[in-house]
Amino acid sequence: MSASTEFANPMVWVVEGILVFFILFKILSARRGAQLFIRRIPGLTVLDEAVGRATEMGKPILYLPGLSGLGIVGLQAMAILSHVVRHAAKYGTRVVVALADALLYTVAEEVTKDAYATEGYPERFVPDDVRFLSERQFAFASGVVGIQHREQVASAFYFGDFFAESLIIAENGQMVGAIQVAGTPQTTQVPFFLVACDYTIIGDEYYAASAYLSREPTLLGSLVGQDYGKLLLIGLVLLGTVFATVSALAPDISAVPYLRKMFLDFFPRGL
Amino acid sequence: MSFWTQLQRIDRRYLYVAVAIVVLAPLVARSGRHPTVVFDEVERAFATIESVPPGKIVIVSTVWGPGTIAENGPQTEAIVRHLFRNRIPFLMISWDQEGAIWTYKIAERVQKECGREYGVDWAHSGYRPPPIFVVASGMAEDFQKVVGHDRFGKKLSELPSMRNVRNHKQVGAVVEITPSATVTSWMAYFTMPKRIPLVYCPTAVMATEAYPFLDSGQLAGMLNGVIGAAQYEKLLGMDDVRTDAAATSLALSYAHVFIILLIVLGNAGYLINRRRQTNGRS
Amino acid sequence: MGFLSRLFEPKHGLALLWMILAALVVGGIVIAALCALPSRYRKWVVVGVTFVAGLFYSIEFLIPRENYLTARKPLVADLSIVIGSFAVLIGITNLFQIHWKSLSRMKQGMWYNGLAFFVSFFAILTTGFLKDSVSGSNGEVFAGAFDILFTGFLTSLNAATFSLVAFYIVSAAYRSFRIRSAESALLMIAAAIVMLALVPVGALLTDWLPKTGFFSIFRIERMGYWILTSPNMAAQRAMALGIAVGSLAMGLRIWLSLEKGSFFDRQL
Repeated sequence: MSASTEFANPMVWVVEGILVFFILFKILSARRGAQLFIRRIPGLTVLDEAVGRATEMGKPILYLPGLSGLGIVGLQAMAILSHVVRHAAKYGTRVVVALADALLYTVAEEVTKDAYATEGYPERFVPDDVRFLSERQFAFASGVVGIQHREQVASAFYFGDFFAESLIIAENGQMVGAIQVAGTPQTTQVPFFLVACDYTIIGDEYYAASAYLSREPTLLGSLVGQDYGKLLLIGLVLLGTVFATVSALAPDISAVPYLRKMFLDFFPRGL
Repeated sequence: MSFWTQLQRIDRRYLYVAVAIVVLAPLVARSGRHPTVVFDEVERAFATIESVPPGKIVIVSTVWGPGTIAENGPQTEAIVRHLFRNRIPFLMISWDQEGAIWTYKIAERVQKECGREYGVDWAHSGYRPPPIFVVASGMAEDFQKVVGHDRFGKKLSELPSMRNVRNHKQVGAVVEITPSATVTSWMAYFTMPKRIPLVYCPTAVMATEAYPFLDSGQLAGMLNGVIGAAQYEKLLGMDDVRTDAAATSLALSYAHVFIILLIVLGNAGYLINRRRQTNGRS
Repeated sequence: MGFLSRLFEPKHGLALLWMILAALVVGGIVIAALCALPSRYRKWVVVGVTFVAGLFYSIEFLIPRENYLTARKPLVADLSIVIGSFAVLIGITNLFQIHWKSLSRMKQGMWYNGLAFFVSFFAILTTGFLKDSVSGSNGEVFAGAFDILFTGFLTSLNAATFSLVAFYIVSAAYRSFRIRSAESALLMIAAAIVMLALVPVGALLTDWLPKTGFFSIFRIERMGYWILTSPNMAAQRAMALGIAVGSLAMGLRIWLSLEKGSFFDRQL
């Protein structure tokens, strides 16, 4: 029987240790001035254009962190919100933020207020533009649809955890003619955003957003460290594939079953 | 505007009326016809419940609310019916305020059909506020303290079905019925560490991301949306019984065929128009 | 029994009142102390509390056997539930503020929404409390009223809103699914196979093919199953690994207070 996953085993320490080392090492080297490259992500590049479009049309922007709570997904949504509001603040464009989590609402209010203040326009912050709608999924969706149609939003940004309400929101945004940019770590909602939105950010591009937009060394370093971590995981997957393939093709080679067993002991396979 | 261009631009309101008719008709007719094919993951889910050791309970964790009652309701009913039939005691926990009432109603209705008794054969803990992983990891160590009481305020230790449950050792399986990505909470903090089988009942759209976990054995089985529920009912021998799952799966069938036809129509118009433009005709 | 276990034992009657009072006093002292702290030290208090709080589950998992923290998980569960419950008040307060403003100022296009909010809020609140606290026939009236509001209105509205997805998916699919390239053609074929494989009518289309043997692979449910369990699974796994590493990095940054951004960099 393979090893239990209740507590860490030596391979967990090793792999997690290496992943953490990569991330922290790259953060430190970025802070010391290392120049790091990120490829272009179209969905994030277009954020500023979408803000500009809303300004030209004289209509507000809608920003939704979805059903995200006060966790890493929600906080990443707040980082992107800050960027959007800072850009919109320069042109006096309203940003309506609708939330489904009460704790995240308090953070969103602070972030929005700070963003206006940082750009030198604290008087442009309208408290009523940051709204808690409902933590109920479809009550939230209904509220958002109401905002989209009443305010006739010109640009809409959906960054966070979305579930079944994603298509309701995106399709109504399409109906009012808004340019829509969406990003979610929920892979099952990506198809809905792809058909209804103009730009979609997929998978871990969502976590790269704050680094991409701010170009802050700590965040850039963390992003590059993540990529090294992914290379490590790809290597482990390939190693496991080789062991499994060789042991299936040549079970008589004595070292192979031993190596395979050692690999499976370190990486428990279900029950 | 040519016919082929019009074919790509049918007013959405006509589409809405058409899909409403296509979906409503089988729901009104309420056929008892169940799917002929049963997927492997549904059979595995069935076998998991069948093999719950005597003396252990099943935790039925429901995250759904009335929004997804069409998919998660039949799944809940099918699982609960199987548990009642095999006399496997279970604790139902609801992480949604409205869902707490609906899950209780469903279980109560099936309880009456199967001649079982609340407290003896099952219990409902009522609404529990998330996060799931915190409660799940606590339950694994001290079940009575963390869960505490049922929806009526009665202590679990006073209920015949739950009084002997101390921790994870008395849990034979966990069933997670959810429209959200909550299964990893149970997986990481309860079922994987304590080696307890986990059956996953998601809405169909969430099912695609579960296949890696099925392959690795972290999920013991899965009911893929309402189709999975209909297939599960088939395994329960309810082939010709008129159930919500059967009616909904038939409605889904017709809706899927309708959508494919619409896509074919739209693409026919698009491709013919494109060829005409390429050939210089408009 | 340890001090913490005795402290967090359920209390009743006068002991409960004393505990609530003590919690308010201690909470007030802590808030006053935090406010009195010079602003240059506040950030370090936040950094310290964040780090210690994040240590619990990390250390409990990293120690390779059952340990002191494992037995404390139920206590952490209780604390998290209580803290999460307070969040409900914050949301309700904001809803009251927004809707009271639009109702009191008779804001065009909004005032009736505010009215609907207050009417429905107090209707469900009142009937919900009274159905359990009033006995006899009056209690039944309130229970019936609550049932109408809950099952009749709330549940039906929730289900109806979700059902809109069925209509929107039709219009979105019809509008967007165009074969513009070889990849989109492949996507379309795969989507059609999976859609038909999942439903009973689809299975009937290839029911005439043998269930075993070479030609059984062309049965639609088998083709759909292969798509779900091979290319789909590989793609989902790849994305899940990437997202997991991204989550680890972000979690690490927040835990070690390395995260940057206006919320994290602001003056406390």
